[in-house]
Amino acid sequence: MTDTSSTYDDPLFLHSRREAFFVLGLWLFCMVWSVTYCYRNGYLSYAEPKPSLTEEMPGIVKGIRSLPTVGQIIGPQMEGRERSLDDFHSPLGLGIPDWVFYGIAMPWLVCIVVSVWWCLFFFQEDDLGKSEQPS
Amino acid sequence: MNEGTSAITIVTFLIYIGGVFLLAIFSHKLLSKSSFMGEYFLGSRGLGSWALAFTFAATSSSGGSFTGFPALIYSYGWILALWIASYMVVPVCTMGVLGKRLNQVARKSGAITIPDVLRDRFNSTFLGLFATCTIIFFTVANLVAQFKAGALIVEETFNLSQFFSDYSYLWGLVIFAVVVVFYTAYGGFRAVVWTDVMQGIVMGAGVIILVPVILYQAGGLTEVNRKIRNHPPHLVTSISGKQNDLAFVLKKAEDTQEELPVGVEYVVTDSPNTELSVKLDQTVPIDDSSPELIVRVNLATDQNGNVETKAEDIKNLIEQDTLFDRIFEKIVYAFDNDGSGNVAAMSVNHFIHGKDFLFGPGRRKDASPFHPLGMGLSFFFMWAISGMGQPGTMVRLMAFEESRTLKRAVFTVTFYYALIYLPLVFIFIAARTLLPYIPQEDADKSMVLVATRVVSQLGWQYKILAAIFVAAPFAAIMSTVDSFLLMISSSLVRDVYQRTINPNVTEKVVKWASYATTGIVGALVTIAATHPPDFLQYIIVFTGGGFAATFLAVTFLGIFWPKMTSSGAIASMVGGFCTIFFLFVGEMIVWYISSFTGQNTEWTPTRMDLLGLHPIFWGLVISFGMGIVVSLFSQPLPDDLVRKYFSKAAAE
Repeated sequence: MTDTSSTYDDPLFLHSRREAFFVLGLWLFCMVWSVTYCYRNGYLSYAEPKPSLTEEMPGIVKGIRSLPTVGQIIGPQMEGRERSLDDFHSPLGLGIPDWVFYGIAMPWLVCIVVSVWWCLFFFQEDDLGKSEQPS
Repeated sequence: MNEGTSAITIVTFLIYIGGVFLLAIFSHKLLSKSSFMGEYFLGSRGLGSWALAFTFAATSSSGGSFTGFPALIYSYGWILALWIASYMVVPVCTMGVLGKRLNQVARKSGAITIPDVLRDRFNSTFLGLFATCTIIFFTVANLVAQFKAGALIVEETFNLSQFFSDYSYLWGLVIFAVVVVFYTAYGGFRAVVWTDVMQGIVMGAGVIILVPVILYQAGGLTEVNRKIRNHPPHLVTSISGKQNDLAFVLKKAEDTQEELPVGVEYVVTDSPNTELSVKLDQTVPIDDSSPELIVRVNLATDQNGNVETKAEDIKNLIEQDTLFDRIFEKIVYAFDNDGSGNVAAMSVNHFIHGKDFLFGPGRRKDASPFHPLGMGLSFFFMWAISGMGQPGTMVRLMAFEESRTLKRAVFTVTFYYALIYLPLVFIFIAARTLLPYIPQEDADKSMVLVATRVVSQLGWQYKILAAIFVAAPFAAIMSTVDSFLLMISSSLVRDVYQRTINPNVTEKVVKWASYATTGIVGALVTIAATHPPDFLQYIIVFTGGGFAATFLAVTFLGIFWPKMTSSGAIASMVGGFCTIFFLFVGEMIVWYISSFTGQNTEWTPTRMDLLGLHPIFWGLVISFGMGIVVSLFSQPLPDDLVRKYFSKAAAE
């Protein structure tokens, strides 16, 4: 069978694929950082929602509602300190709680910098090609 | 006049409506200068950086950004910063991942709609029609709800009940429909985009100005947190009827020797002529949890068994009891209740403590966590990933003129979102201290109340700012409606009529069909909005997820993976759609089957969050998974078709 992979060489396709995977990597990093940091440092408790189960429910509904949650499965490995009002503080006197500051505001700033860098230095200004007339 | 209605507000509305009409007229002039279809539905792929940036921002910032989001911040506090956190990557994700490549792919075949792109990429008429049907299904349902919301805003703002009494809603609906259908039908894509630009600039500027104003009024965020932290536990409850919402404020634990209740329960029986009574009691758990101390209020009923208790009766009864001095700090009427609440019978509403606002996971009134781990993960998929899969935003990615435009738009929106979303969290955290005790059922009015009760009191110049925020939900609804109207119109005219039924249709016929379709769809939706069917609510809630689960995988894999097949594409779309559908309405289907087969239906069906993850997560997993697996085991597309989209030689 002919190897066609070498013919998939449209420069715009190759560049945009590289750019897309970089962005998805950035998204993944932000999700892991923000959710993990906030969960470990900003939660009062690690209680999960209790399923609402009644005798009247069909078995299939009860079964699905009884499934464990992500918080019950991997939450215990991720748990950090349970917060209290006594240790509430905000860095730099800005009034933003510490867990919001480090878990969301700081990564947001980093994302702005990375996004700007992506726009200015990573993104290729490929020619989009001429537009065919609508058929 | 109603809350938010003032001469300045009405003038602001009229200026906004006048502005969109002018833009529609100007846009219409451009329709004669190029191919009608390309210009009407895609602006001739001529969107510049600012237009792309703001139409993207405005389309993403729907009515929910200025009503639902502030309401949630007000109700649950700082945890909403995590809820919205994925917006830090939304600009680069929603535009940067698909934008350039989708634009190129669309140009290769002259596609002007998303179904066009799919039909041509996979050489499948079925795929194009399935995409069209999905778009119409979700969009029509949403349009009816949006028209209803728009009508209510027009009715309230212009106080139409004063002129039309029982027909005020109908007139509000007609006025809204005429405005939005006219400028959309007449102006086409460019009118839609330019109104988005106008809205985006105004709202962005408004929020930036509002932040220092509100924070100054509140004394700064540090002071806000201090007040929240020191506020006693409290709860706002609702009984139907005006002026019937009460705020119960408990003593702090350190200020009393008494054991304090965890919540208040209103009990409603069907029995007639029952008397109002209030007492401390224990809950009766249905699981193995411990009983809890609550305040149980048995509401009085009249001879027909209808509730006749007013908030005043409860307040007076408790204040006369020694119960009051022992456990309550005070009981006050809730802020600005208008009778929209209903009794949550036989369920305990829990007191909310200051710490619940300062930390996660946030607490609902039934004491369940607002944002547990599964939702924290899910919402990173919700905005950034699901946002990529909305046909309304994808079509904008097909409309920009060159790569540099996209780059500048990403740059612009990155800063725009940073200046909007976290600051909104600051504003509505502060609003809790400025406007306490807004019932949760009325929290959607937080934006309007902040504007009218805080901002507009500061001086005449601030009344204009306040008027902008009163008008904001209306502008956001118009922005959503015009995009949806055009999406349906393009689907019917281009994907169904021109490409399937009559490929040889003349441009003149296409032109009049486009105007007429937009108008007729608008008229039909208006008629449906006079009496919206209840089941629409169940379609609307899964529209965003439904679109993403149906369209994202097939589009992403279609433009980046040469081995995607038409069978894989169909499997991806159908699998994603069905997954979302069953996770949202599956329990309801079981409930209806139970009711037909005579089984017990004394339980409430809800959305299924498998493993605590939002259905959008599963919809994406299934759609990507099926797209890949089925493609690997199905007939590949012809080489020349694949090379057309992936080969340099074909590009040249």
